[in-house]
Amino acid sequence: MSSVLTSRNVADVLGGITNGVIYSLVALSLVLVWRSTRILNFAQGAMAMIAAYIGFAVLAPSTNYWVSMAVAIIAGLALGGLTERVIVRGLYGKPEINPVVAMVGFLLVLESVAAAIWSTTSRGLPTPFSIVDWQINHKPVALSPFALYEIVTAVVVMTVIALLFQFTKLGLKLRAAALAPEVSRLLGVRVGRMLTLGWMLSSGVGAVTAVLVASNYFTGLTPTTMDGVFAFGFIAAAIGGLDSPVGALVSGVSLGIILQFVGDYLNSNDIILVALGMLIVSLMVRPNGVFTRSAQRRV
Amino acid sequence: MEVRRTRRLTIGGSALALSLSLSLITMGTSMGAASASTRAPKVPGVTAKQVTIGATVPLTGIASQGYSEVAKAANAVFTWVNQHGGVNGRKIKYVLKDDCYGTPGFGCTGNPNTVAQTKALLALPVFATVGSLGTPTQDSVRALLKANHVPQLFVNSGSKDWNNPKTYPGLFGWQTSYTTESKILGQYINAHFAGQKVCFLGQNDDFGADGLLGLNYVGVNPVDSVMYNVAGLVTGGGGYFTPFISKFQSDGCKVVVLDTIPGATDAALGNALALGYSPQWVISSVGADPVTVDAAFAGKPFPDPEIGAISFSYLPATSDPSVWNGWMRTVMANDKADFPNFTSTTPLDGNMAYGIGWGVAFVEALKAAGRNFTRASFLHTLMSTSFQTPALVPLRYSPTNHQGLNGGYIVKVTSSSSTSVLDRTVYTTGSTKSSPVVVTSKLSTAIPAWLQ
Repeated sequence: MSSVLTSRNVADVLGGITNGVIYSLVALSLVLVWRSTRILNFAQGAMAMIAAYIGFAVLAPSTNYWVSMAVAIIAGLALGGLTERVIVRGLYGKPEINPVVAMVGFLLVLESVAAAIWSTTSRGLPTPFSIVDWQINHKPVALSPFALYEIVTAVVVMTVIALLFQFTKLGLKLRAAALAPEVSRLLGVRVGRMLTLGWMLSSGVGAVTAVLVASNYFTGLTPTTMDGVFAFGFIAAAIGGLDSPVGALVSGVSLGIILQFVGDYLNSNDIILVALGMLIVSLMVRPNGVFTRSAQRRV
Repeated sequence: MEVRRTRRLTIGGSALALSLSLSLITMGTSMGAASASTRAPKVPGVTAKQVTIGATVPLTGIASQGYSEVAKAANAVFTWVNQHGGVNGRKIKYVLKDDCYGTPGFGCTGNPNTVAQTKALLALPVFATVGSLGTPTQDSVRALLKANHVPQLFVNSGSKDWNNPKTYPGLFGWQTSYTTESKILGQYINAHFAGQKVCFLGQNDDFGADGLLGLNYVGVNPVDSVMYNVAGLVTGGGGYFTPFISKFQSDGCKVVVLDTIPGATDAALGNALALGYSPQWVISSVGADPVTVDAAFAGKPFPDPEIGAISFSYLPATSDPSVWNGWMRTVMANDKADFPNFTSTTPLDGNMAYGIGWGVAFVEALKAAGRNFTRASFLHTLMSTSFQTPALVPLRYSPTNHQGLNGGYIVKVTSSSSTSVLDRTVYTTGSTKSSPVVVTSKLSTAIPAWLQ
């Protein structure tokens, strides 16, 4: 039994899940704003990075991890709301290229601002749990207490979002505002406020993601910490379908596992190639995503 | 109003390309204006009261971590000299152009086009480029600078490309070449870890390739050699290295040689920590600076995993009694414009010492060149001067050797901000297989009186 747990394939699966849940969170964050506002948020990673800096860099290193995490989440929620009100609101109904250019521009601005304020020197974030893998008979199982904490956190975040959308009145309003804004407005739903809330939730999820990434990836928090993670999360969202939260979850974790096997059995240098290859193939075969139910819903 | 996502994605891609090309066009236009308005003096970049030099360096973007402060540290030397009357009556004006290591994105706020940034320097004009950073970036402007007769001095990289006097008579390197350094580290491995399995992780360019070659030259043949790419590290995060380190562990390597940049060193050390793997690390001077490497581990509930690692230095270690260490700190603390937060207690990191090293070499060459000089006479002086720099080995150029330093000593990382010298034995060797690694008596020089 112990030899199975420490075997190469199990190690790849466990490592893949740990990376994959992060991609899932990024994808979920993208899905949340895409569903409600039909905007691809290219600045998602950068917004998350700013929230993480506010939570951890602004506060002294002595501040409790959980307090910093809470501050990061609040900063994320606020940044998401502000972004929707100030930048995104003027983009509704404009040609499709406008939001794309605006969000890519916003990404560049945020990374530059972060570099100007906090410099590009990497900053270590505290870790509440050990990052050293558990061992069985002196052989590492590819899972550390911190990795488990990452997985549990991702599951909790996704469950909370799912419960909010499925079982609360607020969730119903959020879905209604996204699906049928005109009808919702007639029925008394304050659509604008719901859209802002959608962006806040997305950005809050992003903040949690950035804190997890910067704590665990051995390279610390830098203005570009989220660039790579965003790329993989974006690929996961595109493959899973930008309309599907379940798709985000499944394709993020699947992508993580597949890429871990690629890195192990082929070469780590092939990971990006394979990920981009998967994106191209999936867009050719199922352009609307594997998990999207209705392709043409918008009227 | 139906919008298909695929189309949006295509549009997104085009938008990115469009915005990039627009920014390039804008920069091109402003540069044209600059070159039209300047008039070349007799010796370009030199007036009665000032020498203008420049460099393209990664102030922001992918390679800026640590490296952004190198040229600024050299400028601390220029600031110091200027405040003490300049060199032969002239002040030094040092213009830095941010080329983001030639790579857009990753927080780049400069122009990620080294050729365009170099042309902007030519338009000033500059007397020479001094301390521009990067192998691929500086390779891309060698011909341009040669065609404009602009000396390309003290290129910041350990590539052998800078030592090609026949084709590029105005091109000079500064640091010990990757191969030379690896030969000296390899000899140390032979002496202290004989018969133990060695693994190698290097960058997939001349840094890794020349480094591995150096190990092979002295008979160190790693059982497992892996080359990583920087883009993979940036996109894949630290987890990108897990399979590499896992393989080293299962191969039973007791010694792991890293020819890595600081971020990659972090990823290798962090992954080994997670796997419960603790080999003897032997890390190239390029990616071993304790202050830079430890930044990512600050605040973690475990000691800095770099402590105990073996590395190499051609500059005095922080614990070395070299007279230069105190002087370098004074110069750094004096330059409030470049280093507003540097105080008497701030650790002097390897990148700063590196920049100060060639900064000193430049002012010495300029002094030796006298009041009246041309580009040709300056280069002649450069090749006949015995410099007094903070480096451990003498800096000597000749008409047939433009590489720069050719040796250094072995150091051990002792804390998250310091290294200690093992036995203060300085070794020198060439970049070829046939040139032997020889012990040189300690050759660190005194500080020139006029700089004190």
